[in-house]
Amino acid sequence: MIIILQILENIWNLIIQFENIFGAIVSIAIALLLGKYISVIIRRRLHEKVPPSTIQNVAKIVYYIILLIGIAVAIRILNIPGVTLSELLVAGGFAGIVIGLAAQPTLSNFIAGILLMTERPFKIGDFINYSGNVGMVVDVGLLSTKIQSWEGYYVRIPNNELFNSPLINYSNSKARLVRVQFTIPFEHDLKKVIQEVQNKLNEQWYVLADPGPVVFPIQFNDNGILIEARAWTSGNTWFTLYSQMPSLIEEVLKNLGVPYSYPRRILTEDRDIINK
Amino acid sequence: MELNYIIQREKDRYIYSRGDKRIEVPFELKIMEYPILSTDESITDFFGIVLDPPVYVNEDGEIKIYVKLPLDTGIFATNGSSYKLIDKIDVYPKKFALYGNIGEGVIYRYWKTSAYMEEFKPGRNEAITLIDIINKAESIGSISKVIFNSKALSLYSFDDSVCGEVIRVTRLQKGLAITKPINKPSIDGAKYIPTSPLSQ
Repeated sequence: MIIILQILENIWNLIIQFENIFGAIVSIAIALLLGKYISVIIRRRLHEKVPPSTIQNVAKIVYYIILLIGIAVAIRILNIPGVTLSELLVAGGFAGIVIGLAAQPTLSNFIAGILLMTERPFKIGDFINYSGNVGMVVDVGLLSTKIQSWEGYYVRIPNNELFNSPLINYSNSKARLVRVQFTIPFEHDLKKVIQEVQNKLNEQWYVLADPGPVVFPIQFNDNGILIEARAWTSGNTWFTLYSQMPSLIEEVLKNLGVPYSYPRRILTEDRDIINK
Repeated sequence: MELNYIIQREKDRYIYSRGDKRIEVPFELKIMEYPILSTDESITDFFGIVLDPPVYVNEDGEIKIYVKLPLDTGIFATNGSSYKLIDKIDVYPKKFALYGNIGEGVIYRYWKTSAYMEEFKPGRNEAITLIDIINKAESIGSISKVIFNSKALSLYSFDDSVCGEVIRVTRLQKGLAITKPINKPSIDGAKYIPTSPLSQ
């Protein structure tokens, strides 16, 4: 009964303190406007200095911090009996622990997102490969990163996974190596094949002159001699070389009359053993 | 090499055509042909002169060499004061190479040439340029590559030929040199070609 009376008294006080409620609303409204204004300024000032994804995330963080300050000020203005700012902070701390435990993966993604922003292993527009997901980075958010695959679909990858796992960034390399292996039968002139393939690769404008292409035998196997051709190209022309190189090698082999090397077994007949 | 382009007048404009390419230019502009350094901006802005054989410079020494540069043909629309490249006719097949490491190096337009000690008259689609090599290091220097930003190199004309800007290479220590065009024609009295460098 006493508790109910106390609550009613509190409500009464709140009604009396209408001015405080108004003040609280104003403080939240100011925080909202100020947050928006400062995030716009951040976007404008950091434009061209910092990657767009980082600007967006920094603006978001600043916006929410200002909003939280506004809410804290509003609570202070409301001056709710029995609720002081320090108590609110303690309660907030406990709530933080509970929420933190419940939202552990989300928080780890958030922290990884901040670390990705500072370390910047990739930026928007880079081509990356994460666990076989190859594509262009289109968005780096606070919790996840979005890439557009070669096939045109979007893949959302949690930041935590991106930060803690091996990641290949193709766009960081000024030059890329393409390797193609092929086998020629033993009967054919190895030196000539190597020379002709090397010349053919050298003739292509997109194959770098330095480091130049190299062709060498790597293994003698059942089918013949396994040869590897390696050629470097600039990052922009990688796909041209990657898609053309097998055809270029095939063209050289065709011109030299070198056939495809099939698996084969040579059987010899020992007449004496058969006659016995 | 035949350039194979046609410019026709039509009502209030010129029609420039080459193969499948067709560009319309209003009458107040002229279409003109100028030499441009043979590069491919879609791949790189850097141009690399690879000296074969390399040039040796004594410690605290200086040497001046002449080299040939490849020129393509640029077709420009112009009002007399500003120029817009509307087509590029490639004369030379282009090759590229990597200078430095894969992460921090640069891709450059690869041009292998000999070093000449005397001034010479360049052929068609060629420019002569002077490279002034100063060795400030305390060792004999071997210069095999001169790499610069092609957007910084001006071209000049003289006696129906083309020359480039003087390129100064200052060798500071082994593996480290500063390369920059110095805003002076390689041949005295040569006239500046207003379309170069292309970025202007």
